Amino acid sequence: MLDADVYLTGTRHPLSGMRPLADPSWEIQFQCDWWDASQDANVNIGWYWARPTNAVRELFVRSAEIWNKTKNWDQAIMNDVRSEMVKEGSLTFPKSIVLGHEDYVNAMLVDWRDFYFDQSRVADWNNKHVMVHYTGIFNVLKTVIAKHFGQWFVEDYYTQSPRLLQPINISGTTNQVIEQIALSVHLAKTSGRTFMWPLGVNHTCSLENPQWWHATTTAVVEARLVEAQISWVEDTYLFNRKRYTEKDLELTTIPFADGSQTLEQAWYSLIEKCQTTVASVVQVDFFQVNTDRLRELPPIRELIEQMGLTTCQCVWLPDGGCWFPHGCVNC
Amino acid sequence: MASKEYLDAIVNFRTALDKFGIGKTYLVLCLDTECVEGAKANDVIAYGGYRMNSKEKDGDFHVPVARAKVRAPNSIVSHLSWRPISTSSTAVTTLSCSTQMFI
Repeated sequence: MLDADVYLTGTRHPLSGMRPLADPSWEIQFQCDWWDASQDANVNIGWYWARPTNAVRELFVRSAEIWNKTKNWDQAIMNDVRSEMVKEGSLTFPKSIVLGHEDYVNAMLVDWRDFYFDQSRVADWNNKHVMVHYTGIFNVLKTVIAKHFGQWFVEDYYTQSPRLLQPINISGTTNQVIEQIALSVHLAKTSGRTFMWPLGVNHTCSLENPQWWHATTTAVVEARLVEAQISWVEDTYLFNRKRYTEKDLELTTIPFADGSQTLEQAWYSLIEKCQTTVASVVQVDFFQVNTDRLRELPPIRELIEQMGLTTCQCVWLPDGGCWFPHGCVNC
Repeated sequence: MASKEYLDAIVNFRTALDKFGIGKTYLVLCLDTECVEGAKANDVIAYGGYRMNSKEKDGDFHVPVARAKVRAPNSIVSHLSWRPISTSSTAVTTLSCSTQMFI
């Protein structure tokens, strides 16, 4: 049994980190849900392999009885019942097994931002693990990140490429980055192109004494709101598609402004260029674009406001707490 | 437990399983009719016995997911979108997801 936010790396058989079916010692094997993957650790019920034994049936029946009465979090209930049954002796190791993080990755427990932009380390990560369970991030962001890491295997998605538009050299404060993404999405929409996420943005929380860092775009902009506006492909799409085709896509880079026009003229000229360019991939270069001046232009300000993009939003938990996804800049 | 929003992820996972020759051992527990039909259209075995009622669709997404996770179905085969070719020789992989997967 697995959750839909589990993505196989494709490098190892899904069961290769678990005791095999032929081994009669085990009855249920779970993904770990705690930093220390000991047999006492909490389990994640988003990935488990169970045999229909009496003890396993009892685990589910007892959990169901409690859940029917309380409607509390199913995973917490199953952890409590499992702990009780371990103490009672009916699910002691190895009947019940907590799997290791080295095989079955719980994304909430890994800072994947450390190697997000390093394709060599991403390849190592995929080669090492069986799967990644994208816990701690929400909605479409799970898919955005999984695709970034090359965990998408549908060949047509890469061989039948849509026309693409990707912004590059996006830089600024949270609001400035959001505004540049909003303009990029608008350009993609008006030119009939699919939005390709930029491979990170240069972000600072403040322009006074700025501290710049190369952030994942979705750490600054809420991915769900971009998806509501336009279809998208991952920032590493061109790299990932090389697994399926050697045919390169023609790529053209268009600077946002060439310096010979007013900013307003440059904007409308850019819209036209994006619409008329025949290249499969258009990269719009935002290098040194003054977003604050752009926002002073009423039609552009209105367009940005209508787009409704915001920075990444917290998710409300059942206990009333507010959880900010992994990597959210929150400034 | 998959709802219609997860159809692409369902197909992607099955494609990944196909790399290991086990794509046909995969069964999706669907939370809505669109999921059952979409799975069927993509040759994925789907079980429709956990479909959400109208009250659940608008409520806490944990409830239908938990209902499926902690309760065993009475008769899984009767709700299958189509009969599996074989589920007896190897492990069966079951996909579970909600409309807004929590953790």
